[in-house]
Amino acid sequence: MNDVTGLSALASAAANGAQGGHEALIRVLWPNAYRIAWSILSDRGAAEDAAQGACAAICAKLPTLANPAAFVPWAYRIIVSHARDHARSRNRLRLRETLGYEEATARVTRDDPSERLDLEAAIGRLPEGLRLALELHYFVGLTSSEIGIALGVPAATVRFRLMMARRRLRPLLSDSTVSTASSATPEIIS
Amino acid sequence: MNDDARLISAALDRRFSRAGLPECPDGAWHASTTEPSRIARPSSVPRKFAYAAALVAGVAAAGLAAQASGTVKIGNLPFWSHVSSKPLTRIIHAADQLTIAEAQRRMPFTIVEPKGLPATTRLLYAHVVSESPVHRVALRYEAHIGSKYYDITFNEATKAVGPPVAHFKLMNVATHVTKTWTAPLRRWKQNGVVMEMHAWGLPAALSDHIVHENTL
Repeated sequence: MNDVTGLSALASAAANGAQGGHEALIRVLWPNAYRIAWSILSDRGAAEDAAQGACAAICAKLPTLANPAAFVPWAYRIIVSHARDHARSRNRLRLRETLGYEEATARVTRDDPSERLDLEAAIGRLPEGLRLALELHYFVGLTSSEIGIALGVPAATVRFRLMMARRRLRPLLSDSTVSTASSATPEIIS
Repeated sequence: MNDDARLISAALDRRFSRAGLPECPDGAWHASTTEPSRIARPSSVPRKFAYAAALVAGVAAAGLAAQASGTVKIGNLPFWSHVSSKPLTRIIHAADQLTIAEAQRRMPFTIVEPKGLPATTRLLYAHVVSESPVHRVALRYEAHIGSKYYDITFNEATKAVGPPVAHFKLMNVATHVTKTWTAPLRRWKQNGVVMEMHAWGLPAALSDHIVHENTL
């Protein structure tokens, strides 16, 4: 899990004109900004471009942010928007094949050495909405409300997407042969 | 964190490790701005005037170059042909350039030779423009006054053609798209012949003098 708790404090310092505040803020934000952009664009060069553009926009718009405590979802909203704009403009948004229900419910065992690769590949095959919700929650550590702000959807939609993502990944997460129906209960977060 | 969350986080770690992580670019992030740069122009003259001036200069240069190369002869231009710094160009075929005596043989009325022309005037040619039903002849003179050559043309006919004369106003009237005529500077009737004087560019005093000499 990445630590982003200090981002709000860094943003507040940068907004107040602290010496080197912007540079310190971007240095902390950069890795996840690049990763989220890469997740959307599937292209390292394009992700770097989009992340740089997003970081520049964050620095430029920082004085307009009224509440520094809301910096994290606000910043990820800018990152996601820049990456999507980049994908749209370069026509690089590739259609990803959605993992089918039958494939997702296929029985695998957790002891299988190929299981980890399968889980990683299955995450990559998730639709963008589900995958971004999963990444922002489990990797960046945002709550459903913050993810909702970042993706521009209600928090309830984020929770639903997380549930759908887990349901699709369930066969790769369970200890053994667990049916989809028995694990359909969504996990409530935040 | 439960097992599922740990597994997902681990998978995401592996997934993002494949993406690599470029160095955070060094830069003056504090100087980032989304406002467009506004640079004061060095001159207060609006750009459109500069474009217009450049266009006019280009057209003038092209015109002078065309005239100097002989592509465009100023004497051939309809509205500029009345005054020139060079001897006037004979704009009709040599076979149609007649003397007054030759034209007289084809006219049913007596051609009137205008009086009161400047001393440096010479006849270029007489041109029988039309014969029947309206007979008309044009006498084209060239007056060399100062450093300029003036075109003085007299149309003589048995019947007035065209609109009434608008004094001192050049008018080019189009009829049926392609047929045009230029209103004369002066028109009068002398010995039963309608005379029209085309002498655009000639000083008004000289024009008045010619009309006066022929009508009084």
